[in-house]
Amino acid sequence: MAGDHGPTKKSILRVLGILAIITIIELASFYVLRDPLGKGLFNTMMISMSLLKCFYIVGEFMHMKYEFKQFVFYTLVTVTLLFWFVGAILWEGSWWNGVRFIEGYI
Amino acid sequence: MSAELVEFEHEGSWKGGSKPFGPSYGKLMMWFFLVSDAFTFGTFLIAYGGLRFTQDWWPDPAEVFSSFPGIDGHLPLAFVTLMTFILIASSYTMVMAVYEGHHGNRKSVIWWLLATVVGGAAFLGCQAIEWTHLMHQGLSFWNNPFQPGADGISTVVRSAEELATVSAHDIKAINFGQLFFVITGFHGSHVLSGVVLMIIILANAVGGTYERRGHYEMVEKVGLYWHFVDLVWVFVFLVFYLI
Repeated sequence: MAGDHGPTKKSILRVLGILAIITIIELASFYVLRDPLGKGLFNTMMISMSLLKCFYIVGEFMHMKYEFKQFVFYTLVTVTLLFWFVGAILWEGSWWNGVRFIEGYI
Repeated sequence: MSAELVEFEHEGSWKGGSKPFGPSYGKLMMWFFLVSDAFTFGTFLIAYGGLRFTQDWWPDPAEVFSSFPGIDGHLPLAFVTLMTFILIASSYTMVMAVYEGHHGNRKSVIWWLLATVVGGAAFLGCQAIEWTHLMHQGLSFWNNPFQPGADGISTVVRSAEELATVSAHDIKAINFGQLFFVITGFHGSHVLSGVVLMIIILANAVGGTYERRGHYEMVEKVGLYWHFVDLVWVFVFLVFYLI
């Protein structure tokens, strides 16, 4: 693969441009789309754009794209556990919201 | 009974010095540290999620973060967007410093590192301005002046006298200040330590330490840390300002 010898000035600038564009799209969506879309859809969109930025920063800026596959796997699996944790707490949190006002529960 | 010591022939990777994962020891340890730090920030953001979404009302970020230093007016998220771009730009200058380090250009490494230090310091200055402005409006660990307006949905800034008339049970989102200052504070202290580290590396590069050593890997390791700081900001920005 062409880029396997490491980053070039062009690839670095390309990622910078992509990050800037995604940030601008995030901001524009915040102004324009926050009210029309429902909260769930809007939040999903925002989270996906941030995850996209995350992959570009880790892949190119932090050189992860060029590392051994086992190393990428190690980081990816560990961080996936973290994302599971986020989902679990948000799920449990919504239950807690309903139940904490009921007499006798937590 | 005497135990006989058997001499094993050290062969292959048992001789030591091999790199099973690929990166060198120093870079690998930095990655391990960054993953552990990701868990720290992850727990903060998870706590924020758990505490925020169990409440029926939360201040609207478009109202709370709508000031810009020097400009009189309502500019939602303008200042924090500037901070995001500053950090992304400083990440880019850091990548260029590492790139020049790989090619052994000492002078270029120094210039790009200097640019990154300036970017980091600018971000810290902006964060300080943001904190000062919010504290002047009354936000603290124990007080949240951003309360619902008359319609129960919109966000309004209440003065200290108005808040004093409300009973403690009726004040909404009382932990907004705590969450905001602790999470952005932890992130800011990481930025600060990153700037300090970079100044040390810059001094080393100027003094020619890495030329003598033959490689600029230290710049790369600090670069990893700096990109992690940028990454955390991406998620803090998402969680506090966008969602």
